[in-house]
Amino acid sequence: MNKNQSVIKNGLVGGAFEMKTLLETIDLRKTYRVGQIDVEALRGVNIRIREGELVAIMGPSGSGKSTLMHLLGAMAKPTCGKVLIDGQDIGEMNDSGRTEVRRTKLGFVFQKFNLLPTLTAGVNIDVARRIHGEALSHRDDQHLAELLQMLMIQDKMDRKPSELSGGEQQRVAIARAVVNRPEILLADEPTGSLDSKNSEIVLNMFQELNRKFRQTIILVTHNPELANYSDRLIEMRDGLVLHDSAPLDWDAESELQPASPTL
Amino acid sequence: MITANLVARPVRSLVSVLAVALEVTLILVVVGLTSGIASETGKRIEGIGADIMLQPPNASVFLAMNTSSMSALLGGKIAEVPGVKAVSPVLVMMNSEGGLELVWGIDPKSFDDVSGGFIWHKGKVFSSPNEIVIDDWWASARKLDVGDEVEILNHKFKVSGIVEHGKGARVYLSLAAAQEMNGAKDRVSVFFIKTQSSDQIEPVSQALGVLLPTYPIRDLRAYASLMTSANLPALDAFISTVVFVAVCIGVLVIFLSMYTTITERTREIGILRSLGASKAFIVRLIFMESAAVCLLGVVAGLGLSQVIARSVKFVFPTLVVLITPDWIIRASIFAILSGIIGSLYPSMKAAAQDPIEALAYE
Repeated sequence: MNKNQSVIKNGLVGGAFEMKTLLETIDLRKTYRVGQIDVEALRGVNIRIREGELVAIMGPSGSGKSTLMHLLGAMAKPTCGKVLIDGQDIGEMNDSGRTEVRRTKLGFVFQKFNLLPTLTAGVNIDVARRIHGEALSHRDDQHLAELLQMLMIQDKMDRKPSELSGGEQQRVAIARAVVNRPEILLADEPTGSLDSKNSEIVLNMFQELNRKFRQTIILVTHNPELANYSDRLIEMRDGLVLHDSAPLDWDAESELQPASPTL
Repeated sequence: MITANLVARPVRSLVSVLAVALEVTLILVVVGLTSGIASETGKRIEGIGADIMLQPPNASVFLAMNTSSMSALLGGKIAEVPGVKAVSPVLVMMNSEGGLELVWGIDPKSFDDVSGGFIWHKGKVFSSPNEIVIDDWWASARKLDVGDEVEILNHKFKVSGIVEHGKGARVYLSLAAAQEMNGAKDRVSVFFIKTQSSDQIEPVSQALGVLLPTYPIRDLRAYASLMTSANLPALDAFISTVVFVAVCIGVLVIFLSMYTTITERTREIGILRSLGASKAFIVRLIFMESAAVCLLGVVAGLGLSQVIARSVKFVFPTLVVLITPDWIIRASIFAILSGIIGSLYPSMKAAAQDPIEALAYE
């Protein structure tokens, strides 16, 4: 158990957190058609993510982790099985419904930052707020100010992505992803384009977000070092969950299902 | 965001704006030129000061389009109608050398009685069949002065005088000379009639209607309002064709611009979709960018039209480009409409993009 797991566990012991299941997959399968061949990217994945967890999903290329990320992120429909976000099965939703889920419940951080290149950092964040659509309150502005301070980018808001370092761009992307207080933050190889120093800064930011705001975070990576920054490690291979390091006392909770099938 | 996107691709934005400006300019200048010529002609006819115009049966309200004529002897009968103060016969000819222009054969005495006389800038009225009187605009356009020779209607004429513009034609010669040139002895195209007072216009018109029932009788107080494309079907079709071509140009340019924009910005659209932007949001974004291009194009087009109108007036003093508020509104609507039509497919295509594929786009 790493340092952060103990933080959360202490929180549990102290009764500070009420851990509810935010995201769950049930026998999740995804098959792609490549030419004349069907490729099974996911072959029955069962995982359960609880509120406030910082989870790392790891695996080599082709293990299905990116496909899993797309399905958890409501960007694609499963071939069969279920993806339940806050109890809603996004597999049953149409494009409009999945868009609504992305807008209201999820935040994304990508390997290549994916900031809009023509806009300043501030406007990039503002676009996410506008897409979210709800009238912005003073509290929202305060939240943003707090985020920017925590991410140490409050003085970078007038700069365009091309004028920022990779680490700064990724921190702007993180601010954009969490500015609307999503229930789940999904990060796909968030340190994949960063040097080790910036990787450490960004990973520390994830930890701080998780600690300070109880932000549920799912990191998808092939970098084993990320495991040190997460509470829980889910390893994937060949479209299946190979290992889930979920603490035993959590699995012991009555409402929990057994962990996913393993290789 | 819209401004940033337009500024980020300055050349394409500029070309798109210029294309819409061209569309607006094409509509305004062509319509303005045709309307301007018609309106100015109408004002010149009104400027004669006559109260009534009588034409041969089946004659067009556009004098330049008339080929029919009537006997000059009718003038005597018209003069006998109670309430008529003066009658002036005119033979209308069309000069096509160095531009289209009306040339009127007039009887100076009766024309003065009806019109109150010319305002003379220089010289005097023609005294021989080879002399003409021209108005100041035509003199300026052709750089002519009294005593100069000019060839029109395949004849050489000497300028005997220059008068203030605004009384019917730009070039006048004697009625007899005009009849001789046309082989139309004792024939005229139109009678201009002055009544003894304005309250005589109606009774005189009615009396003429009884006397010459098949002859069009027009009250000249409203003549300028008849100078519209609606009274000239060919002009209406011409304007419609120009508008159609202009809108097609606008649609194609906006389509091309927006299509290349969304292709280049596939990844950006994927990012927006991943952030939860709905299809409607993407469509709205593309439409608003297109609308911004169109609005800038409309403003540039209005400016360009004014520049062209002034340039035309400077280079061709006899031409008038009449840019009216209703056509400004119409041209703006056409431009916005072409923006909407042109960005319809690109915006739908952008909205339909799969977020995963869009994010993977390099």
